[in-house]
Amino acid sequence: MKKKMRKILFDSWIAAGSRTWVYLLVVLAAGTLLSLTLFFSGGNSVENTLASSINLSLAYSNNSFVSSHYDNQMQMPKLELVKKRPDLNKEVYQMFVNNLDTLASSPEVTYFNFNFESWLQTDQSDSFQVFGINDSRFFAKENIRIIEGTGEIKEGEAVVSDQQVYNTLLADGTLTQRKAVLGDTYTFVNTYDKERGQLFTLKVVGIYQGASSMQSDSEDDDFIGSNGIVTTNSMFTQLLADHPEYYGGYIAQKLHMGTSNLTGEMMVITDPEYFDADGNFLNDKAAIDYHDIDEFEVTSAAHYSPMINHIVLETDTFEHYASLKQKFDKFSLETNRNAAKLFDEFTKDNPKYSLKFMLQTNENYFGSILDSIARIKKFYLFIFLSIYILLMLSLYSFINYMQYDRSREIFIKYSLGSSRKKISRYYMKYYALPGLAASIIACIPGYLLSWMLSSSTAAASVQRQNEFIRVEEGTQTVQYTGVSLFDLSWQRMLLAFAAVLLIMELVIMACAWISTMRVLRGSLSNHARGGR
Amino acid sequence: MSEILKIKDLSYSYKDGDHERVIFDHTSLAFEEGKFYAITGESGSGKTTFLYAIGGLDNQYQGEILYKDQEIKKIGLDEYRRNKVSMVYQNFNLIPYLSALQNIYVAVDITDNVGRITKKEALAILAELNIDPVKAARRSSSLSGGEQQRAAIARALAVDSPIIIADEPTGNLDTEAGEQAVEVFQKLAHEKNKCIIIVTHNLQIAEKTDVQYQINQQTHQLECMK
Repeated sequence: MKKKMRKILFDSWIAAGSRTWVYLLVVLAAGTLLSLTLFFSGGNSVENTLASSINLSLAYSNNSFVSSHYDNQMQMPKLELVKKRPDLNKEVYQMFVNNLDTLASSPEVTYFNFNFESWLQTDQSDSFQVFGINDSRFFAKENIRIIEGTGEIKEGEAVVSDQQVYNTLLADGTLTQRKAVLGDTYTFVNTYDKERGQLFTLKVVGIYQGASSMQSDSEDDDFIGSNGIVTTNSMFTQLLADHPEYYGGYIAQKLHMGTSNLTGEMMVITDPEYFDADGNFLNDKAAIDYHDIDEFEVTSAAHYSPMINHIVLETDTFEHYASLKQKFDKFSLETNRNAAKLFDEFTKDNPKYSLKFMLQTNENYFGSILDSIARIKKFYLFIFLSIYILLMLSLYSFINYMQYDRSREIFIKYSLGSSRKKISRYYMKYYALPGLAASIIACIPGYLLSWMLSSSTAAASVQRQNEFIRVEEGTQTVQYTGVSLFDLSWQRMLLAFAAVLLIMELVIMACAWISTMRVLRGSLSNHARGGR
Repeated sequence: MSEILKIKDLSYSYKDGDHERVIFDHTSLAFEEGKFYAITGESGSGKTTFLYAIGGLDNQYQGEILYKDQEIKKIGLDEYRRNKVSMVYQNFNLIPYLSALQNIYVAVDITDNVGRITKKEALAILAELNIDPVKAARRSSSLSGGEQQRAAIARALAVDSPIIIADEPTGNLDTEAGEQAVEVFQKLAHEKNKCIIIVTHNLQIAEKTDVQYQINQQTHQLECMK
């Protein structure tokens, strides 16, 4: 009998002819919209894509030892002098590196990289770059492995020697790229101060290999630089350490108009009398003991050349991104707090000086991208849901129409003894079964559309943001490699898929139930009492 | 013959605009097994209303309708319609896109006799009513009026309910087909011991029944005419 009834159910779909097809098309359209909505919003798909494409990075600033500011004419530096406390810098960095390792081992992190290398830009017409380091003390042992040559640079050797040769360690990637070998020397010309004809020479005394989390910048050909030879912070620290009689120091800067290059002089202050009550340098050269480092061409970046240039943490999902962001913020907060504590101890005895060390999560650009995407997504979702609701209203109307057309059939069943509940159940099944098939099929275009839409939304948002950054700051800082994948985990995909089917089926069955009941009521009312 | 359906003090009225329209006022009667009954009356007199009340389709009445001395509301109207009574309509009320055979299956599926009818049995019932297997397999909408009515009667027979109620069963049939239908009802009553109650305004048809009741619109009673 069940087989016969199944055949009857099938026959009734066939008998409905074009109506069945219209019904299926409406369900297909509604299912597509619903799956599009759920896939599009369900997995934070765009955010996930971006979260895996855009790095979390850390903005770093440090003026604890060397800091200079230009005056309004951008000509003369306004100096901030700090008292000698050479180990502070190192301590803070070391603490920073250690804490960073803990952060990097978080389960959210899929890729971690940080770069210790400080660098120095030289004249951009020069086409040579060497990245290296001059002071292994600033490396955590687990992050660097000396694979050739000197495993350690002795104290003082980082500073130029009598022969004007700077010893350095080179990254192995640099060696490969430049075909350098141990013992090679490179001579750099101070192109700015040609009158003095200053040359400096780099001698490779060691080759290091970074840990997996450490990245060499050696392939970055956009900058021409020499690293580790003249590193302001470390060198200055070194100088202060070597000369206890020095009170403090700074790097003087002069803007070389017409280019982005600066000249710098490292000077050591020997007498605190040359500073006014506010700590401003009185600009009397006689008070300055020029150190034997000489001039070199630097950019402003060199003045802030930290031992850690950048940190990159990558995640694969937006949830991980958000979670890591919190940890990252906490990490920054704690590091800043600890640094401040160290500095406070110093400034307690030296109230005149202000030491600053500031880590701040850099989210300006991708943060605004995500905000922008969230807005766009909300708009899309509003449109999708509106269309979906309209389609479901159409579906309800159509089911109503079909049921009114079947009012006689419904009445027959009722008069044969079928209960209202049983009749409703039959028609719920009648609509739900083909509806289920249509909903399953609808998930395919829904998924594809959300994939396309996610990709295009993300790409367009990043592009717009980059345009904005270009206009505002003249440089493109957001790197975006393009969305290659609709980033939705299979669990979320299954969840969205199940939700589509469940919602569609529930709505269809509710429509069928309401329509059948209405039709039956109307039908009984028409038949009873002499057909009134 | 035993009474199968008893109507006790049946009253039925409804609001028609501002005034209350009374159809029945404390009317009582009984129907027996193996008899063929006719309910007659003028248009709008309440024939169909009566039929729907005793058919378990309308429960807005006062009084009692007893099936084998049990109030049908207590039996449960769904259960009553499903197993005790079958309806045959003027417009046949077959599901049009299904064959006569499938209409029988649907009806049997609804009753508690699920699975108790085979194709052979269903065809036999149809054959009894002069519907051959070829016609039985056709869409019911493609059958003639007489054939559809016979298929509707076959459906009522298939569920094997003791009472068959027919609402103007010959209304849409020509004379010959109408007479054939009446013969079928007579046979069902007399040979299969069914209680057949038809509503008709055709007095010639009513004459062929065993008992005839007429609705008196003045007294709102069902009066036995025969």
